[in-house]
Amino acid sequence: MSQNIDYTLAELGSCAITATFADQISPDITALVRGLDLAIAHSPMPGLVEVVPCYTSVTMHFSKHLPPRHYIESWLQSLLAALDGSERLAKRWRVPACYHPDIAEDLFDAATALGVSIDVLVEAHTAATFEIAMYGFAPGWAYLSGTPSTLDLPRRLTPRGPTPADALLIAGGQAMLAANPMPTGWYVIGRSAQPSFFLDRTPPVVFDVGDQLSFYAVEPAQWQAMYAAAKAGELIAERVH
Amino acid sequence: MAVLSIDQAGPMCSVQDAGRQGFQRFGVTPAGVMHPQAAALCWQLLGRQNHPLIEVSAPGLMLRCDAPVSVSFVWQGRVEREGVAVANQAGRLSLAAGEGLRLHPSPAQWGYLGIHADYCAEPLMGSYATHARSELKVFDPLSAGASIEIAPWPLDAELTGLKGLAPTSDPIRLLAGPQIARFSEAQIAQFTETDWRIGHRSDRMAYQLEGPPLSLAGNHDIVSDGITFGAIQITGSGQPYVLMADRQPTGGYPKIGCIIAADLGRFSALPPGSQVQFAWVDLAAAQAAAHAEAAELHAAMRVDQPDFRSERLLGLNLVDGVVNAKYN
Repeated sequence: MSQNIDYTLAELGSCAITATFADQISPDITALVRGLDLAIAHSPMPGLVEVVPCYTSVTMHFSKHLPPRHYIESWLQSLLAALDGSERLAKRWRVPACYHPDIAEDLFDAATALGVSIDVLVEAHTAATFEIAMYGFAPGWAYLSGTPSTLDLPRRLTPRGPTPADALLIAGGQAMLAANPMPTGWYVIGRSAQPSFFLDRTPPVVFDVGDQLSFYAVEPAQWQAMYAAAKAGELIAERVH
Repeated sequence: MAVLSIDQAGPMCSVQDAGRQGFQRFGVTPAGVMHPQAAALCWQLLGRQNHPLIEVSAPGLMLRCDAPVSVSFVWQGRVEREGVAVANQAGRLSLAAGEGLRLHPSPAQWGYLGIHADYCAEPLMGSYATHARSELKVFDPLSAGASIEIAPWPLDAELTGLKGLAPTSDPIRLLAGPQIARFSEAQIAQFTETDWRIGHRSDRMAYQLEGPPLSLAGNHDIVSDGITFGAIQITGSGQPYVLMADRQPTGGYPKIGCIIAADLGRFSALPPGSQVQFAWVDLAAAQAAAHAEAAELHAAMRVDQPDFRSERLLGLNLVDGVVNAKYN
């Protein structure tokens, strides 16, 4: 990667600071953010309590107050200069999911809104290779990049009630794997057979930021059995490499 | 083992600590105390940093324990033990088995009870903080009839008549936010010239600011980035929302500014309907304010003139009686 990476650094209150690398989402920038996030984890700065990587930025939260700005700048500069792209963890997963109206409540509405059949919708979702760009909004809600244009539909005009656990959502040209139930303006088009957020595990998520996911369809009965086994601790998602 | 029972509780009372740290990258809200300065004073009285506290909302709360227990409190309203006014502001009391402790309504939005006891429940992801929205909690939000199992510590010396946190109506201090460049000079000036009102739909997630909208020239959507307690988002309608303890870890609205850490409690204490003004400061001023916090905590622990305190308490009782006679 280039030695001169352009970014802006802006205080987020008196205890946090955000480094932003672009104002548009792109795979290169997301990869850069991921590399920096890993580099920070390997060489943190004293007082740093948590780091939140997003599509185009990294927010660093400090315990009491921010270190002097020039310390942060030179620390980030040295980390960025050392990035060569090899930091990227490219875990790939195949994940069983059920796309059946009994399990995926909004499947029919979403297909109608897209003007395609349910089969076409499911084909498009299972053909895609998604990548977890970031977690946000709610515990274990993974924003997936790589949504095919076939699945681009606007958000619902009014939010729906809480999603089922481990829901596959689409809206606004984006896709989401939503571990915990929350009300949302997105559409529930499927459910993953692999629960992906466990309160009693460290880290609590099964899939890391940067992991690639593709889904394959299973029938409701099979999904039930897989989901029950995964809840009991079995790893149902298949690690490809 | 003993049981702490909640007889009465206003809305949004819950168990909180400094929050669930380190999990925002997985979408987990830190939650934690709404008034960090009042909580810090309660921890000082309790003698244990970050011990879980009972966060009490303005309408107040009443509790009792079936075994003797000491309780530290930080509360702007009247505090009664078995119907007898004992103190206000801040202090430490002991309750005999079955004695009721009542916190009467407070002008400040949040106060704290520190129970001198261990909680007979394991923390969740390293914290006892309650985030009702995502159901990440050890204890349910506290309402009348709730009970919590505790193991009381030996009783501690009582302490009443403390000064408590010094009141001030100075403007709430702000640092420029990450997207301040999206706002015009006039809008940035308007933000600190406006007398904002705290909206009635404010809660632990966000406080609404009511006033003239700040219309943005460009697009309101930004690529979602990190947010923090005290960040001020301007939504599509131009209305500002101050993100509070139960904020989401990331957000997609531009942030014009962020309240400095030292002023978070003073801001969160403001009840809905009250007026608030802001003032822009720089990072050096924010850091000086953070250093001054330790001295303010020390001052809050000082004991006031006892005579003045009892006169003031009598005065407060008298006023309550007049109000009751008129409206009952």
